[in-house]
Amino acid sequence: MKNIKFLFLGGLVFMALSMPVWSLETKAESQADVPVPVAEIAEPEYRFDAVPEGTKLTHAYVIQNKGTVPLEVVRVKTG
Amino acid sequence: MNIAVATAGYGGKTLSKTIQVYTSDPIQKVISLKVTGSVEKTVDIEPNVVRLTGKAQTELKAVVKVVPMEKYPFTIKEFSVKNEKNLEVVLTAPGKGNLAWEIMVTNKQNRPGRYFDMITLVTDSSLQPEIRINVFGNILE
Repeated sequence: MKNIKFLFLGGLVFMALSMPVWSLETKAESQADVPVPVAEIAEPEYRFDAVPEGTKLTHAYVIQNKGTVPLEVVRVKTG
Repeated sequence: MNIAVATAGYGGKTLSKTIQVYTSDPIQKVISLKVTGSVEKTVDIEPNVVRLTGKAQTELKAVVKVVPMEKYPFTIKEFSVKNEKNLEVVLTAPGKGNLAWEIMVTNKQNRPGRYFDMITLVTDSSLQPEIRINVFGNILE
């Protein structure tokens, strides 16, 4: 009888400990399944050679979307 | 993403700007872009602001020297004054072997008070087609 009680309690402890791990794995799997945009930029810094004052510079940064749904640019802030 | 950067006002300095791009990427919500580099001076203006302070009915004058950098020469084609009631301006072209243009600024305002005026120089430079010189007058009783 003592052994049965011990086994039952042991089983309960095992279940209680393994539950959070199981729930985390399930959450991670479900998040990975949600299609999301993935922004990737190869060169975020543009260093230009010395130019005379008054020059108007232009540059194109390439932001790639490696995700499965369209990437949106919500806002651009300069400073 | 295309950007345009104006370098006016950065002569002799390093220009450094950041651009923050807010995206719908849940992991990388903000992307920081940077633009940096040095900007060369094309002209020396001394002083770059004129202050005429003194008693009314006395002569208040200042001389501004505008010196184009050798690498970026230009000539001043014309000039104008925002309010000709305040100032008289005389422009002298550089002599031989000299690059400095001289601008003699004389106060014309006899009434006590303060004023702000502006001299605009029009050049043949594509980099600096216009140069503006601010003038502050403080005429005392």
